[in-house]
Amino acid sequence: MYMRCVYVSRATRAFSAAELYDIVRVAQNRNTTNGITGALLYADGFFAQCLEGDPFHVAERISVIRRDPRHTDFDVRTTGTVSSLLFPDHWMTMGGQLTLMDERSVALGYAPGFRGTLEEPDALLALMQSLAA
Amino acid sequence: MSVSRLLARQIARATDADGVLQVALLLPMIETAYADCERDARRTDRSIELTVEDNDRLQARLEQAMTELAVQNERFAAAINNMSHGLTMFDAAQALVVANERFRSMYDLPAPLVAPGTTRDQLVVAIAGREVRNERREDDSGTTSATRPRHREWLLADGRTIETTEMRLPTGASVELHEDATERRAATRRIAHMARHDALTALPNRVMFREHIEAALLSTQQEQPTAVLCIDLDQFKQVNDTLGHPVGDELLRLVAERLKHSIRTGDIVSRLGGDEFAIVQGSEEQPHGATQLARRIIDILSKPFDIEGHRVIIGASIGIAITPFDGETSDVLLMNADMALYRAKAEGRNTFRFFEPEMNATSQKRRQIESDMRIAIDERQFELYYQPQISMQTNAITGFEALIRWNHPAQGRISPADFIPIAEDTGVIIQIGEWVLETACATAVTWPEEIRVAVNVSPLQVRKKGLTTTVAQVLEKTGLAPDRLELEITETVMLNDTEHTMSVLHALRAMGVRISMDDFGTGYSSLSYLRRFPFHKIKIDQSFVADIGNDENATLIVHAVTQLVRSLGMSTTIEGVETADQLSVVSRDGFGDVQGYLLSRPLPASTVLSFIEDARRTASLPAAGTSYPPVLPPALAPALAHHFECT
Repeated sequence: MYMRCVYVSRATRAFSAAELYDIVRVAQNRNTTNGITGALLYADGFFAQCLEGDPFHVAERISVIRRDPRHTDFDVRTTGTVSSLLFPDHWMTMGGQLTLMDERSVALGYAPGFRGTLEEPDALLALMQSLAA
Repeated sequence: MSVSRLLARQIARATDADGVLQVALLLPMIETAYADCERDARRTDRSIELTVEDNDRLQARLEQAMTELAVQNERFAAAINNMSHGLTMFDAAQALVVANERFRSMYDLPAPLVAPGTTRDQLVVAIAGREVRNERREDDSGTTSATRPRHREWLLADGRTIETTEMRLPTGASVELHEDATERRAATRRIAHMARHDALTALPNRVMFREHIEAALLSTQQEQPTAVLCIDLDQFKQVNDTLGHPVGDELLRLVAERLKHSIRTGDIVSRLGGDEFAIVQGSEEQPHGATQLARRIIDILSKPFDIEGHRVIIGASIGIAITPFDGETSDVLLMNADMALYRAKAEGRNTFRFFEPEMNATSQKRRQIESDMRIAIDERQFELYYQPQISMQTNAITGFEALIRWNHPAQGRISPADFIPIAEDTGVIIQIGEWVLETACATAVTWPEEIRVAVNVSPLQVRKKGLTTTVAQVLEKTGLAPDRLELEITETVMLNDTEHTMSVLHALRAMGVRISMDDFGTGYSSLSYLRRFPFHKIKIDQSFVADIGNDENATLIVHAVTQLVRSLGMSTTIEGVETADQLSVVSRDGFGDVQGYLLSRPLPASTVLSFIEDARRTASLPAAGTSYPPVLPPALAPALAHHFECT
């Protein structure tokens, strides 16, 4: 049994590709030991992240991430136990503005702040999966 | 003029107008004529003589010249036919003047064709091959830059390469030198290949790998990032040591094969040296692509290898650096990937890490320590502290363990945990170890005779030749009795190179030096070491003592080990005793020594003697109302209080 948590938050400042990569690699290095996988998107100043894995570790990470000063308006879109992983071997996907603005993203209902139809968690997860593929 | 005509003229002249021959006139004429004739004949004879002489002389000179020419011709023929180069000369009409045998055989031409008069075109047609290079094209009249050599190259049908250098003479004639460059070219190619490939695995080597990274950097600028993965095999050294180099080499070849199969088109795998491989991955989106590749590699390299009947199991650690974030030159990327690899190894092996700038800071700190450490001995920055070991039977001090401190002039005190591992890795531990040994022995010789000094010896010191000599020299120099020196070795020492290790330990034991095993119980097969060497003493690791009170098993283990070691005729020291509760538990057996903060912190050399005196004085007091085992050796309580205050 795994825990999955999806949140959206607003970056407190603009992030460059290098800074995003920095977030991803630190997360990657930390999470190879605790077994957490997931996906991270960044677009139009907003983050969307899905964390999956052992419930204890996911809960612990979420509590740390929530306090990170690099973002605010922390909004948990869905959290709960699941029996299978959506991102079993992808750790993180870096989404830049460009990636998200393509037709695929628009077709999946992308709107800045992951609003609109993406407020439905399954729709947001579908977008993440599409971009992680 | 014939004689008859002369006579007829003279007769005519001597005949008068009447036609009467005046004999008186004729005779003188005839006489004169005879005289003239005679003189002429003499002149003629002389002249003939001279001519003949000239002729002979000329003939002789001619003969000489001919002989010389013949000799020269012979030499010339010998020279041109024995050249390693082929030689041809064409006249201005492009007809062959001279060609040597080497030229003919080099192009495998029929002998009759290679004769004066054959044209260049006829020869070209007869050559089985094609011209692949002609460096200086010019029209055949050849008036421009006529003396500049022209380079041509022929690829013959049998695969050989012939290089031709052609010199045009001002007259329009030309001389060509032909060289069979096949071998030289092949050797050059072999050398070039060797310079860029690893001989064992045939993979690109570091030189070529760097070129690939640089090329990838140029081609992918502005596009997707490229990842550099440094891969290091776990347990490779053990395979080499236990199964031998041929098995190790075969393992490297098989690893290379598996790596080649794990990459995609556009990625390059290389062997950097030893058991270090690297991959440049440009085919995937990053960092996701590198994550998946790293997982795939760890997976395939963890599967067993079957080599010469052995089932070999290894693992792999991987460090990853990504352009442009982690560097934009091959050197920086490789260095950073290597740093990440180091981290992966340090954090458990068989895993991978992405480079983080913080790792750079860690390694810079490490390099700083490394270079500072080299001068620390000369600058007298190291200092030894001594922690007492106290007998639970007699409450007396049996010895002190020498512990190193580093008083860094800028950074203050640096923990041994921070610099000893670096000293081990860099080999500086040898110099530090010698300094510790000599300093500890020189200090201990000033203590009462029954008190020993324990000195830690690193695995590297045991592995390197010369430890027994060093110990003997130090004992000689300081005058310390061998049985007052106790060398503490860790279980790691027992893992390395058993035969050599055993001979060193036995030699030291034979000298009378005591050998103890440090940190007992932290290794994998601790108990087996007890059978392999007759240690004087076993030091039970402080982790067992730390668990006393929390873990019932810890207490049982301490007691069981103490009993076991005692039955083997060895003594024990229980380390890390920090609380009265712990002391009360470990002293239940009433056997062996204890060491720890509860009894005393490590002391500077200057206070050791007064500590010993204090301990003796208090020990001589009647310990009324106490029976062994006491909770705390009463002998030491005042001494402890005293020394906690001053340290």
